[in-house]
Amino acid sequence: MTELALELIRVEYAYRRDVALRGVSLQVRPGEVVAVTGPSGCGKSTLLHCAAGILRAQAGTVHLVGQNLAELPEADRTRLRRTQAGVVLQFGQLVPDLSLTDNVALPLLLEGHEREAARRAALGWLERVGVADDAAATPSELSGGQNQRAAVARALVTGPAIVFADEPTGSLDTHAGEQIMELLLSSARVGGSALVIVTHDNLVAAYADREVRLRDGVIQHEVSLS
Amino acid sequence: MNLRTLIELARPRSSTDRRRMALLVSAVALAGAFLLAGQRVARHSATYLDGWEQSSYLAEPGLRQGVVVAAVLMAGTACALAFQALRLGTAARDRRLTTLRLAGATPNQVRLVGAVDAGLGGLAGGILAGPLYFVLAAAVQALPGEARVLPAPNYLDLLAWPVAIVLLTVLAAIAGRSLRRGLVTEPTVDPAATGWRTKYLVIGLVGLALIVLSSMVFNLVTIFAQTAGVVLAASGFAPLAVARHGRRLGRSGDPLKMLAGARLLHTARPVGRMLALLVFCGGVAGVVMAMAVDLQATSGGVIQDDPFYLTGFAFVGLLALFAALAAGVALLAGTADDLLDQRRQLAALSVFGVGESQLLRSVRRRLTSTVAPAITIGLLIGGGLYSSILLRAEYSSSGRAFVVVLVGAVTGGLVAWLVAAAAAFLLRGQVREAVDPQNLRSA
Amino acid sequence: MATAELVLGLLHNGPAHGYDVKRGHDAWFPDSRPLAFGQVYTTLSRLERDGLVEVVDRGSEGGPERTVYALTPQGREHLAHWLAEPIQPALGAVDEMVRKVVATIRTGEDASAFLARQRSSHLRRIRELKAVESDSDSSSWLVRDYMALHLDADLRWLDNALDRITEQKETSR
Repeated sequence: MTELALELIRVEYAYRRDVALRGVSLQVRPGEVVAVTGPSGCGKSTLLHCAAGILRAQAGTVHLVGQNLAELPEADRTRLRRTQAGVVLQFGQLVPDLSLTDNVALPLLLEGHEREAARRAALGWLERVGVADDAAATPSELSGGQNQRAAVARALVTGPAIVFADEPTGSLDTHAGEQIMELLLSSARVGGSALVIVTHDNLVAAYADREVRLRDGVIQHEVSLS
Repeated sequence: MNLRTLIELARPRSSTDRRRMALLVSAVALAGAFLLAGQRVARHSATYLDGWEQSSYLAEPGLRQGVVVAAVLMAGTACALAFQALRLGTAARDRRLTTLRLAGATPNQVRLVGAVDAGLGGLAGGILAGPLYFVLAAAVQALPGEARVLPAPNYLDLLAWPVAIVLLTVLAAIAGRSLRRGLVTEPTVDPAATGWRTKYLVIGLVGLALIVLSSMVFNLVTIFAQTAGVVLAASGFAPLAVARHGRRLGRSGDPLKMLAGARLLHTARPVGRMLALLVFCGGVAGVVMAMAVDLQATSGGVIQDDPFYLTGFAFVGLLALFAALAAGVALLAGTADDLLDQRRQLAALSVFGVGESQLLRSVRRRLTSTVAPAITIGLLIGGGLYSSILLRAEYSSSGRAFVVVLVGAVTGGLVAWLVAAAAAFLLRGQVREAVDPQNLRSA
Repeated sequence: MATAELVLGLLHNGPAHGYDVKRGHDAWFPDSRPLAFGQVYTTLSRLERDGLVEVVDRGSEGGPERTVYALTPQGREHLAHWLAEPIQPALGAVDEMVRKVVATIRTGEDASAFLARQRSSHLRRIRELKAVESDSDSSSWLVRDYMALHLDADLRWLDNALDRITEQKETSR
């Protein structure tokens, strides 16, 4: 049996005032593309944050590539996340002071890679996502689409088992959004990474193999699209 | 736009805005208190002949001028801190002022909002300056004779106070108006961001030339020329050094160093300005140190008991410490501001394991790696220059002074490092807020 | 179906055989049903009768497949007129979905299960449309985008409808 890329078992999470997740279970196979959809405020982003280990599930368990996040010591958990999970947000995730190259190299450097090797790998990814010409520029000098391309490169540079994308096309126009989606899909395919996309956009959800629809913190339905 | 609308628009909104206002008001109040002290000393005319016990710093007209200059310098430092406070909260305030522009405000109206915002801070600071001055003056009166460098306040101070209020309000308003905040609706690259290096290099070189040239002649002017030279050289070279240091850290393989370096590179000028102030404070302390050694050696130990020298050293030391603290507060406030501005980006790094403790380390590195060298260099420059004067005057104590300056500089640097590290700890609340996953929600 | 006007449009760039017209149509709309030869020739002869196209070359052996047609000035005018005229806002096949949803609710069937099935089927169709590699000069992506965006609109309507139904249920409870 192949290991699941991600498994959530009855995960619950509540913010101070409102409950965001009320026992969500979800399995993602290696290389699978899953769209998490639902109206705003349904808990989509919270689900993604819990799965990526940004938030700690208050109840239930999260397994990332077969490892129970709650059972690992903090340092191991961080290392697991760093090497096995990539994250693409709607906007504003790149460090504004760093060039695109350094931004993409960052996860590798944190992993302890040599600077030159990390930068070479970063440049390779920037080339793959089509912004190699702007590798030395900082995010504020570039368009939203170019930044999202770099964000995709940063999410994939460690060769993660799974990439989490939170409304990755949300601040782009349709055409740029489509390009980013195709890029995410093809890049994830290259490394065999699974992809979990949180979106409210049906046209983005249609790229997935499976749709998981959330409503009020529970899964309303799950349908296969492939 | 009527006054009420203006004040409504300029009023601080967020807790950050209120903190910034508090810093502005305190800095202006300090500046006002020092100005009031300065005018009081300047109006003072009593001499030894008056027969009552008073400090020789007030009694001798030459020294009195020095006290006035010191008070004005301190007021200037406090003003610099106030100016720095005005520049805080850049991103959030810029967004707000930009929305004002979009809502149809003319550039002049936006400048007016800036002026009123700063002016209100100046007004409040000016009002507070009076009580602060009277408390300060009363406190000085409680000191022993020689240390009473401030005469007892009199009724004329009550007339000077409103003048100070008006002056500070107007100055603050002018500064607020000139900041050009929110006038640019598009986030373009600051045109001055590229060509600044040459300008600073020239300033620094002029300062350096002044130091070198003035040490060739040896008279009373030397000390002033050298002071000016140090100020210019520090203001010119510090931002360049920060940028260089930032670039070097940025090329490091350690990602936390890289983050710290990149931030330094992008804030080279404001950070550099504050470091220049630190270098200058260190310089003053260095001079005091070398002078103490010199006096110790030449007067055979008498100095320990001489209230005149003790008072002088204590006050100069206190004033240098005050200026250094002001620079430190400004640096710290600027760092807190950065953390707030970049919280979304920083929170996004948490996936890679750049959490609270790592970020705090990066912030600490930014502070310690700039503040400690600045203080050390300042001590070396001040102590070195004074010792070199001794050397040229062929005093025998110059060798010992050099050694003491060297030891003092290392000690000072260490202390500064510790203080900066402790100060970074004060920012842990801001760091925690910056890495909060809530910042990632795309509302 | 505005086949007549489309044929006029296909002749816009110059005289052509009936066969070229058919081929041109199929290239413009690769995802639609191909145009039948019979339809092309009946349309062309009707247009010739109405004076909108004219025969410019009968070919050596005669026969319909050798005949070359061209637009007349009236034909050009008719085409321009057709292009300038906006389409009447009309509802097409959406009708059926509306009817199904109303019937689902009225008969007390599970509306959210219907939503799941409909989303699955619509999203699959969008996915298929997106998966088609579009060659650079083809205009077929226009057609596919049109379809995908209409399917998206269907889904959004469905979401809204079911949201409101759920709300009504919750408040009436």
